[in-house]
Amino acid sequence: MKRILSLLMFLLVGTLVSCESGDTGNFKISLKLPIDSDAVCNYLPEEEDEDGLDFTYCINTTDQIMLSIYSKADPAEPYSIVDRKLIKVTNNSGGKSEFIRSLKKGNYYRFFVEVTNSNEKLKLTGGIDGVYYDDNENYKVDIFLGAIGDMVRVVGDRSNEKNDYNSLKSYFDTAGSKGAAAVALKNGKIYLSGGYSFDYDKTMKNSMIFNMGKLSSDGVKNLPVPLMDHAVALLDDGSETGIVVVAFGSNEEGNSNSILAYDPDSDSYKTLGLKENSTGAKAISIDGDVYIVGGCNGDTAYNKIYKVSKTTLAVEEFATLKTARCNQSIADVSTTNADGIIVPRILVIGGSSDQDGKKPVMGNAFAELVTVSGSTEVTISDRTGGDSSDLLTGGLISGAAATVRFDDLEQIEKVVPIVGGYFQVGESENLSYDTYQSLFVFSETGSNKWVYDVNVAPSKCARPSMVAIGTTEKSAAQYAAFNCGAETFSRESDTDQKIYVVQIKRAYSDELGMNIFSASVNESLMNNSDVDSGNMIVDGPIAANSLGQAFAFGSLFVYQISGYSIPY
Amino acid sequence: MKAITNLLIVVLVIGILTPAYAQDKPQQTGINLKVGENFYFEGNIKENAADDKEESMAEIQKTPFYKSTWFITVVSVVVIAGAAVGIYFGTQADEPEGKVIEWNN
Repeated sequence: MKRILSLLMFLLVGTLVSCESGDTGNFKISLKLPIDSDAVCNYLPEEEDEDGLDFTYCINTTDQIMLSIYSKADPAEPYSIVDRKLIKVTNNSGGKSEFIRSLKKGNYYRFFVEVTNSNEKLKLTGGIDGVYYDDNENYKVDIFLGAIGDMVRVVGDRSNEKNDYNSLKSYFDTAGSKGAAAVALKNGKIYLSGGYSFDYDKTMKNSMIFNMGKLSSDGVKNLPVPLMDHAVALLDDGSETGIVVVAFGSNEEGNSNSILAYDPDSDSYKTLGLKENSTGAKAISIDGDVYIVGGCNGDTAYNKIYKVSKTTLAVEEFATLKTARCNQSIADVSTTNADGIIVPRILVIGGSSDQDGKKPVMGNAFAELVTVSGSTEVTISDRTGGDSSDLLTGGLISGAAATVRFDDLEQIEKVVPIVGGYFQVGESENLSYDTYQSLFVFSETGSNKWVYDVNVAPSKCARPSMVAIGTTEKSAAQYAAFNCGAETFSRESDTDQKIYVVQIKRAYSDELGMNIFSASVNESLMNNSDVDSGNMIVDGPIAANSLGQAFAFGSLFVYQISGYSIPY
Repeated sequence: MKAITNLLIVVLVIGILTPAYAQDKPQQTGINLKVGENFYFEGNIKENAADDKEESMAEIQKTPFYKSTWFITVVSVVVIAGAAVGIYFGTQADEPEGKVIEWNN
């Protein structure tokens, strides 16, 4: 009897242990739709979409889901693809599918989901990055899908009953902000800091990190001082998150002289260097290093370009601008040499020689190309060799630039769309500043020679921000998202948060008889007026993560723009 | 025979315990959202299988109970039923438990 009982106890314990150990290592991904599915998808018909009802945002039986799995063992290394799983949707109410037999302990994973409709048109994407897998844990990961080329408030819905108070929020409030800065960390989280809050009537020192995988936000270590119009960019020191470089900026006391490093791992800021007191500088990350360009202090502009080294975090003078400036547009137009080494090049366009942005940089000084050997002025013209948009005589201040990379032809070509900004108009005794629905695409046509193609934006955007979003490999069309902000020169008047996706592609111009770059703003898949407004901004930042998704700030809420793909 | 009996007991115990523990997974926290309304809460169902303790352990019997007819009958019925249930569920297509992707409309 004792032996039987002992055996039973032994078996029981053994079973418990085996059950317990076998219950770890599970990994569940839940796809979240960008709508209130109760209000929309529950009415989804089994076969065809009904007229008048938009089921774009539902996953239905005519769709397919592609799950791409990437991994890396070292956070400093790039991801490589592990598996791709095509899932056929068989049920309108949902589904569940096993996607992989095993994940490797100690590896970092990236998941990217693409939902295509029956015409193989991509309609929803989403992903998550930097998921560290340990087979002693269970995981439940949410991937929030966004409609392609659409603007979706991350957690809001579009039913009749708004659920604004369940939405992910920044530290701003409904009256909006100006001059905040944001950047994506390597692990996909988004860093936001500073800015002026109209609700609190002061420059903020808050910093916040948004975890877009959990849709959570964490207030993190405050900036050492309140800052607005500061420049931020991510330095890749090989860590899981990278280091956020925060340069200069202003507050009620004046302009900052600090170049700071925020380390998300230790949640701390440290000073990397003390330079000129300035604001309106721009920062950009190239090959992991951060470059800080220009800056102004009152009527004094600076021409320094500082480089923060990704290996030492040391601040060094990289080059000197021919013309000192701030409030300019900058873009990464780096090349790669025969040895595969990235050769940094920064295109600098427009800007002003004063902090208030009333003295545009014009004429031959309008644009410069910065390289390791120095900065040289760049000849700018339209396609006919003229200056049909009067950029050289009216300047272009606070336009938003991004770099899009065309890899559809044999030669990779980087072009620079610039949206918004404002221009000086009128005679010397009667100068004013105006905004247009401007959308230029700059492309390089020769040594120190760039041309611009003229397009039209849907709105006037005085101080927008823009970032490239993910596009499929070898695509003839590239995409960028921009956060428009207010349309007037004054930074006192606010506006609804307007976010657009712009498509840039090659096009043949009959008028010019040549290929040009055409830019157009995609027709939104959703009716933006459905989004409850009342959340105003003057200007706000936008940041794109490694999944090609952009996140826009400025008001109380956080807005997500889905990309077409993981960027190539 | 003894080995077979032990094996069947193991099958029975596992059959009883597995569903309870399979449901006992940690839930994600820190999320407050409305969109989609498609959160997948599995429900933290944990049947108290461990309460099925054998009180007979304290009993004193002149004849070993495991040799009694009633015990053999009960065990036989339980084992056969357990085996049948085990075979039934064992041959059903299992819902993936390990690495799954799911979506709800």
